[in-house]
Amino acid sequence: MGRFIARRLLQAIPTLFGIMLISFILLRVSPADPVKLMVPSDAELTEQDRENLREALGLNKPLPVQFLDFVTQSATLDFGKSFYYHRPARDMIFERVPNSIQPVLLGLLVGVLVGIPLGFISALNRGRRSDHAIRVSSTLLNATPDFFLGLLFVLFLAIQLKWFPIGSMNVVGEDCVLCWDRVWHLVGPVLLYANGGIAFYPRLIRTEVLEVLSQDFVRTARSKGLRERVVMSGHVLRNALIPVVTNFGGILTIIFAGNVIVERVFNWPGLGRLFFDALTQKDYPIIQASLVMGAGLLLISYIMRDITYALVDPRIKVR
Amino acid sequence: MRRYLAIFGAVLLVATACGQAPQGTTQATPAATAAAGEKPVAGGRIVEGAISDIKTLQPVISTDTSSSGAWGNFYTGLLRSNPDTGDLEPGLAEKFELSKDGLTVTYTLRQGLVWSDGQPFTGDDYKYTAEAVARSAKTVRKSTLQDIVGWKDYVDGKADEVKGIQVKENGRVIEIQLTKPFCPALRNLSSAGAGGILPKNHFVKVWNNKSTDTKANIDDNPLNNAPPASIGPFVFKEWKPGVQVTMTRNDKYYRGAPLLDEYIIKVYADQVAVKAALLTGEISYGSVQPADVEEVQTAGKEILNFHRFPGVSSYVFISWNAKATKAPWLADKRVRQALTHGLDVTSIVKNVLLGYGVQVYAHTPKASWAYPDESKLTKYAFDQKKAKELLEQAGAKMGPDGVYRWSDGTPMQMRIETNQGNKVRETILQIAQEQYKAIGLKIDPLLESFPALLDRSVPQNLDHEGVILGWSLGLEPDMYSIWHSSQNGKDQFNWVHYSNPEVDKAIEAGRNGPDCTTPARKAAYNTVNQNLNADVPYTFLYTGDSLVFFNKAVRGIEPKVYSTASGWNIEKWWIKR
Repeated sequence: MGRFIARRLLQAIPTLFGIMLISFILLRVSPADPVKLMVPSDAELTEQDRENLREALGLNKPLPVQFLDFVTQSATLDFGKSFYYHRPARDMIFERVPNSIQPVLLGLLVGVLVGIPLGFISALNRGRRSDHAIRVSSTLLNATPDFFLGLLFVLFLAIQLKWFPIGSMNVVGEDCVLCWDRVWHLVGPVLLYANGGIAFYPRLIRTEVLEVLSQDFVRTARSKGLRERVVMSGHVLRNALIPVVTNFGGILTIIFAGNVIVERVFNWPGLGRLFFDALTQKDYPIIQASLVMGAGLLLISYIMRDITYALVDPRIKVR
Repeated sequence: MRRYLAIFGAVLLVATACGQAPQGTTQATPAATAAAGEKPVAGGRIVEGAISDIKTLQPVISTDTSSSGAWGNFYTGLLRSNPDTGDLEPGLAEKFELSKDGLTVTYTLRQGLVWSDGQPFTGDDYKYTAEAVARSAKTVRKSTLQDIVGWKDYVDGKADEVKGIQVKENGRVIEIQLTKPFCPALRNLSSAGAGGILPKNHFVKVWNNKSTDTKANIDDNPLNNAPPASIGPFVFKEWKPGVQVTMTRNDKYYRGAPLLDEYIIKVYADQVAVKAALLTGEISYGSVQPADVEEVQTAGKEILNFHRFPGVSSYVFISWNAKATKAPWLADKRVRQALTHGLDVTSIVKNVLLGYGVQVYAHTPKASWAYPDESKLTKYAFDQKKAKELLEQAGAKMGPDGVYRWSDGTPMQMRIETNQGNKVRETILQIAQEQYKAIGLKIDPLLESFPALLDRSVPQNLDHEGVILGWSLGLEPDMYSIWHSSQNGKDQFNWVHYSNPEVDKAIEAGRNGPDCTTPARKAAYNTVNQNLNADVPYTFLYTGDSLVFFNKAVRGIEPKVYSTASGWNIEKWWIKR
């Protein structure tokens, strides 16, 4: 197992390097440099002033040198200071991670807790009314864009009925994490994050369960007199869950990156919005820091996924 | 925010906003009148909704209006703008004077000014801030101060002070010597080049202004995110990045302690979120888009009052590149006049802006003291026949396909571009395309990202023809950086290559005198605006209003023509309970 992980980590290095190179090039060739975006129209700048500003931000160095700086910085997780906030990009990202993680994790949990049982119910009641209801609603949810559901939530449940807040993490003036106020504010974002799972898992699990149910080993298990409960949990469930593991492949990235749509709809101060704003302002240090950390986590979560495979399915060997 | 943008700055109330507003919308009674006869009570909290993140709380390195809206409550300049006229009036300085030769600026501070921590506010704070600008590597405002005697020596580390700034009479008098006359000096120097003056006693611990080390500066230090003292109406309490800045009352504010206990600026992801926050009463005030006014008025009539503030320092235009390689005809003034006659701007203001704006005919905004005599400006009424005549006078000949041919035989076809996502500008582009087709010009519309548009609308790029953009200007009428013929270098703002010796001369007179009196400057800017109006390097379109909703509980607001973003009389605001 140790060798397996070490090998996968080594393989990840060129991938990471490639991601860094491509994103670096894309950032620099896209129009307008940060200085141009930064200068307000009532500022009267000479060409010299602009050059000085570029120098202060490290933008006047030749591109290969800038890239090399970026690589060495990444190695120490020091990505430089944001052009606009004048604070270390890493700190700005770390201070937002807790914000992003809360709704994402809860959303995944709710998605799994609701979606997977629904899939089972659907499969075990194949052809009955409950099966149809679950399949139709999951298709509908799957076809509805997240932002639209979010806006509906805000419009009806928040603005009209005032059952929930329109967004933010806390009521103005309140600042707590483990409190009802936070729970109340989390409902909308969590439901939106959970929507993906609630819409997707039932169909996935239904297909898998039906397939597994028709396998010989299930018949064997039943014929040797195992109780239905044991057959279901020990044989069917375990095998039907493998694709869910695949689906969790990029989980760390999702947790890390947040989701700009959910965060905008619910005014959630998470990483998605930070990254999005940085992109529109070409705040290179924040963009580069997010990309490197995001890519790193993606690679790690792929490795974790492979390990989990091995745990759920003994047929998959780790060598 | 950036170079071009909508208007959030200075503001004005038009009591009869319903005049041009869509049918059925009536202006709510301004809170100010509702407050008459009521007795203000102290206490309570105001929450302002902002639409972009606050980035720093230190003026020297700040570049955006969200940030200045926050630090403007702690750090201010020496002078204020009169809320009715926009003219300079006493603030921290009770007297201010520009010498006859335009070379010496003198500010005399009020007696007994103190920072919120009790330390005296003196000219040393001013000088320190100016010197912080000089050594900052990340400021964008250095050139404001470059004509001060001894400036360059200090910037280069050859001196341990800016010699031209002298602090006298125990810090009460600030005397600034300039190397050449600079008419905007009184206003432009009043905030030490930064926008707000810093408390030296605190900041000197993180950056020493007596040092000659040019590498050391004020750009990175913890005080930038936690203002240690305030000379404005509120004192910094807490900043939660991406969420809000919380401030408390400054009992030592020289205009009187505010009635409000707390002032919060809360950051929202976009205009939609601000709208929702207004409707649920989460914020006390915030601005909306023209298209949303009716909806918010209807849905929020129980709790919200609407205020319409005509913009005073911005306008939107279509620029015509006189050196366009693909459209040589744009060099001809008659063609540009035809383009201006051929576009129905009045109807754009009425239908696209829903009446929330005024048409403009030249550069200087209507509310400015330098606004030209309007009767002498051509209004370029929508007249397609006249537009065609002008094109023909310029040498264009109608082709068989209904498109004019320029004198060299090429069809008169060109691009007009604007930034994607700005619905108003996109609609204007559509209208322009249709209306110009009717006068025999073929327009290829081009929508780009804002950064791409910025990259294309620069003097060194001649491959652009028409560009729809907007200017966001200060209250100082000097327009050197936009219209002087010298400003066509790399990345500068005269990308239409406008060049008119008479205009150059007048801009220089308005900027460097020698006669810096208001009548003389007004005459100079009159000349500039009349020429711009006749030469139409831009088709000037409109100045949009700033549309603000206040919660009805907020009292004491007195909307005026010129008012800073946080309200000129914020110390008198109070909450009705």
